[in-house]
Amino acid sequence: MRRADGPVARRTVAGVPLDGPVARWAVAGVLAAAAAYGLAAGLPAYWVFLAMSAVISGVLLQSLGVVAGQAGMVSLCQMAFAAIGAWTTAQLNVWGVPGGLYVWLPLAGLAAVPFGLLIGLPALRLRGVHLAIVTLGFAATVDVVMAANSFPGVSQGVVVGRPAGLTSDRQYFLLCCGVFALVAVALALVRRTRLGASWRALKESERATAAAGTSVPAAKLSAFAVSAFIAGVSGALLAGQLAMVVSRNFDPGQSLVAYAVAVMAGAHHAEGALVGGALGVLVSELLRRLGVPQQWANVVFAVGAVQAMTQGSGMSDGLRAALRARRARRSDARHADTGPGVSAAAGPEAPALAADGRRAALRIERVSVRYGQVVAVDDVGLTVLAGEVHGLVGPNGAGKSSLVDAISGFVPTGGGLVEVGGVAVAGARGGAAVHRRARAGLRRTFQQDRVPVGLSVREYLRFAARRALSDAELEEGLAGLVTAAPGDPIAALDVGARRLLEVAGTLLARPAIAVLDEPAAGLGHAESERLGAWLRRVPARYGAAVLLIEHDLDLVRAACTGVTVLDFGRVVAQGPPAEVFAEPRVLRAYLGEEPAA
Amino acid sequence: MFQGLVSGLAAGGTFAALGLLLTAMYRLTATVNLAVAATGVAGVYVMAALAGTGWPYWAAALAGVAAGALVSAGCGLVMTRWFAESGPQTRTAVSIAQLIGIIALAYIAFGDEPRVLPNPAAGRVATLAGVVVTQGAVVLLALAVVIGAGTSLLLTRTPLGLRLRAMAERPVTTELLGIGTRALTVTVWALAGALSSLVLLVVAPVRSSDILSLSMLIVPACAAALLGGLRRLAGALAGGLALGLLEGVLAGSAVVQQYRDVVPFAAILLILVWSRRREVWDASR
Amino acid sequence: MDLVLRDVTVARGGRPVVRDVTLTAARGQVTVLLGPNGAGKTTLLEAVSGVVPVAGGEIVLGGAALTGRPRTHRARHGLAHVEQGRAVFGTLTTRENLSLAGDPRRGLGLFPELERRLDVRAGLLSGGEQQMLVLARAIGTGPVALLLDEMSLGLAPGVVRRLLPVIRRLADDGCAVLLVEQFAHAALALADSAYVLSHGTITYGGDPTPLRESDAALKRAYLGDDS
Repeated sequence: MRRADGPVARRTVAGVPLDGPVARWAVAGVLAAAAAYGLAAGLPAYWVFLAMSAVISGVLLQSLGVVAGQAGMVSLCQMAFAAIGAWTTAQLNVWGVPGGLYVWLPLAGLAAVPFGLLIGLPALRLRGVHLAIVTLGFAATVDVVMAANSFPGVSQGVVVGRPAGLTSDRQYFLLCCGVFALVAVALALVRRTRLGASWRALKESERATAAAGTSVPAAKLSAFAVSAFIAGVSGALLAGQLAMVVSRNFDPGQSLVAYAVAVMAGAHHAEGALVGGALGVLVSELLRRLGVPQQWANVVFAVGAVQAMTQGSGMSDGLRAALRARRARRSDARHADTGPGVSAAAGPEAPALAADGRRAALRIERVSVRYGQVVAVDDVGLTVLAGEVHGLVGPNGAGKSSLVDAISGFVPTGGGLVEVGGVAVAGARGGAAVHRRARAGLRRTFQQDRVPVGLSVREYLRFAARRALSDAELEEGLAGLVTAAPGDPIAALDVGARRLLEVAGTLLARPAIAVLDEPAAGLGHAESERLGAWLRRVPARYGAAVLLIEHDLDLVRAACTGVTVLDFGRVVAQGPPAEVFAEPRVLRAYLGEEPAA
Repeated sequence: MFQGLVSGLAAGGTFAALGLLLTAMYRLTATVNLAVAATGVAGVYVMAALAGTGWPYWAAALAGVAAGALVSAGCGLVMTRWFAESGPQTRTAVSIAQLIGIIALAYIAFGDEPRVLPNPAAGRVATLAGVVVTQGAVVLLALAVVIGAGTSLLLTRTPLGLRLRAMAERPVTTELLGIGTRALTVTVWALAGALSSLVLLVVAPVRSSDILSLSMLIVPACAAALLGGLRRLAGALAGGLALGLLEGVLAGSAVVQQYRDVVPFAAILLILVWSRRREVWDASR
Repeated sequence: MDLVLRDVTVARGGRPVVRDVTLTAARGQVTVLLGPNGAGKTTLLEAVSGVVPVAGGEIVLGGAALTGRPRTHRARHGLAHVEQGRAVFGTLTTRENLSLAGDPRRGLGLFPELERRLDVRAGLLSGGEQQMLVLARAIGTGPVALLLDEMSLGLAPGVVRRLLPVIRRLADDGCAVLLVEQFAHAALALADSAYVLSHGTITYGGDPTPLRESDAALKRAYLGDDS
């Protein structure tokens, strides 16, 4: 939780601000450690055992938080990964591998990784309900195999030993807490990287993820690998806690319950995973004391999960939103204006490019797109020079979006050529993958809102730009375009602002050519005019040429030096806007044929 | 080998029948209803409870079918009330929660003691080359075929079916024509619950009386449904039968017998990856 | 019965895309709503038929308030909406498409060319036939008000000329027709009154004659200010 801190006087200790993000993390860490020690020392033995179970299941829920919570893929086989981890631990124990649990834990995690990748591979083509079925099938399969082969050591009565220093449950509880914290901190760090952002971007849209230059297969496989590792570790912890595990500890029904609890608690945040783990134990214990059947706990989780899905967010999201609102109120009280100043004139201008002898930022030739019998784009060619803002217009159904899909690599170009800054990314023998084109300097935005709501403004801009951005760069990227602070969650922005944020992120990547697909849709007249003026100066500010797809021809006129008009998939006019819009056939394309008079 | 095939008939009929229900529900309501077997289990246990208090079997079974329909209709109501605009993934996730809830409530209501379920279809129909064909197997096969053919007829020959197909293709356009989709959806759910109860009434006495393992029949049912691409009823029917027969044959070999339940998963994976190898991208544009 | 919109505002994703629109589609008349793409025409129609909720304002049909009522209620009240993009049920036959709406004969009377295509799946019809089908289907519901969205989209001019007289006849029979079009000329030829929507607000409303006689006003709406 970071946000732009305004210029206010702060209390500091040895130069470290007390209210900064680092301090907040440090305080949270110290408090958590103190709480763990307090619980370990103060709780009765029975409760220590329960608390241990809660934390271990919290680790498992964190694994779900990665693959399901962040990346949005339904995984119903986390217990299977845990079982593999536990099985590995039991085997290492039987073999007497030195190092004890300290070594076995990471090894158990690693053992689960290949299985995570195994499930991740089909996930490259399977999504949604199909992936749910595959993971459920995998859970059932592992259950069968585990039931058929008893865990190592079980038949000989060999228990999983704990190394010195972990022999008591109180010590082992602290180990569990340590592992939970380690996983939480590691995931929090990953969250700030592009990899972490790519998981949350996946949840929103695979296409937009690829268009931002991120490999979708890499993002999916890494999410499953990391998730399997964490789940494997949780299985190992369970083996150490129970000393002897059997397949009943990992039945597929528990994978389903874990999924429901993860949804309910919002396991993609550490506190959500911990709350989920604690609830699992506390609700059961409460029911036991009340003499109520244990199964009511699952009823509670089922209802809770359905309730969370009606809201679209789990408990941890609600908690964080409430905290954010409180902090925003407090900071508002201190200083009224935290957002960047919005003005059309912000930002230094780069020296103007020489008017002639310019390279082509984007050159396309003979591009055709067919869907079955329908020819959506028919032999289209156009060139956008470096430093130019070029408009691509035409009535609905003229083939503009299909052309953009072909340029950016989502559909084949029919053998047509696409060159970015003089380098061919598509030609007669097919073309490069979407994310490779993006990295080559061809970036695009989408007509539909595709900005991942799980990110903050800062996180998104860094993800889209594919590089670290200084606060000054962030502010400059937003200036004149979006009224939002870098720390704001994207979920709090309206659709119009999200689309403009997508434009900001695309340009901060400093591409050779930015293809903007209807950035003004849904904007009012005045906003749209401002955007036109802003876009006109994009080449000078960012060094990027722009291909602007737009229906609002006022905006095109304000922003563009050249225009291409498409109608029925063909180029009907090309040239400066004033000339092109005066042509009768362009007017005809827009207004339809004159009635035969 | 032959013995294996015959013993796989009952399993095949079960997988096919449940796979058909999954397919029909996915087509009509855009939900992979993972709770469909569990609703049938609820029906079975209501039957068992009533039969235990002295109801005649047929009356108890009828009440069980009604209970299954009711439970399923309740799940359908939740879907239409809160998830009408949600995508298939969310709706399927909701059905996971419903599966957990139904299993838990069934354990609460009926306990987790294994119980002997009355089996009216225990008799033998024929003995083929020394292998007994039970009434249950025949009934299950017949049920699968009847469900398949009945669903197909309902969809293509009745006004209700016409509305259901319209709703499946364009729910908003259907409503714009003045046809309420909520009641239609709940009807589908209730019918599926009733049919699932019917299937499980026959299968539970011979397979298992455990609530969880019966509910988990959803896994091979999913495999069967996927063999029809979650769209083709005939594919689901054939797929379920094939899976059951394969399982039966494998059960004959001592080495692979304990792994026979792995077959559905392997089938799921291969079919899915092959059939969707070109699905490089998610939702269009 | 007149269809009346008062101060209708529609928001999408937290942002108003249609603002304070007031218009009347009178009984027995063809009312044309023009405007460039992205102006909010489709959204406005969707709000009228209940596909999307309104953020403010009132929708009244024949004196009865429809605002906030479910789609099915509005449909049963006599409001028919022909969506953009020829929303046929592609897996159903022409006959099945028509019988969903009620009596197939009513629509077939206006489009006899559909008769010989009755048992063909609607997905296999030509674009023109599909547009006739959705129109015939809407007519089959016996509408008192008919919303038509971008009927001419992607159709050959000949087909459009075939459809327009049918709309005229519907209006003459007493239906209130609200016709949304991007291609203005053909629609204006038919209009009894016309509105222009731009950036979500009405910029012209009333007599269609000035729009018919000079392209200047339309040009301003479509191609921007200084052309």
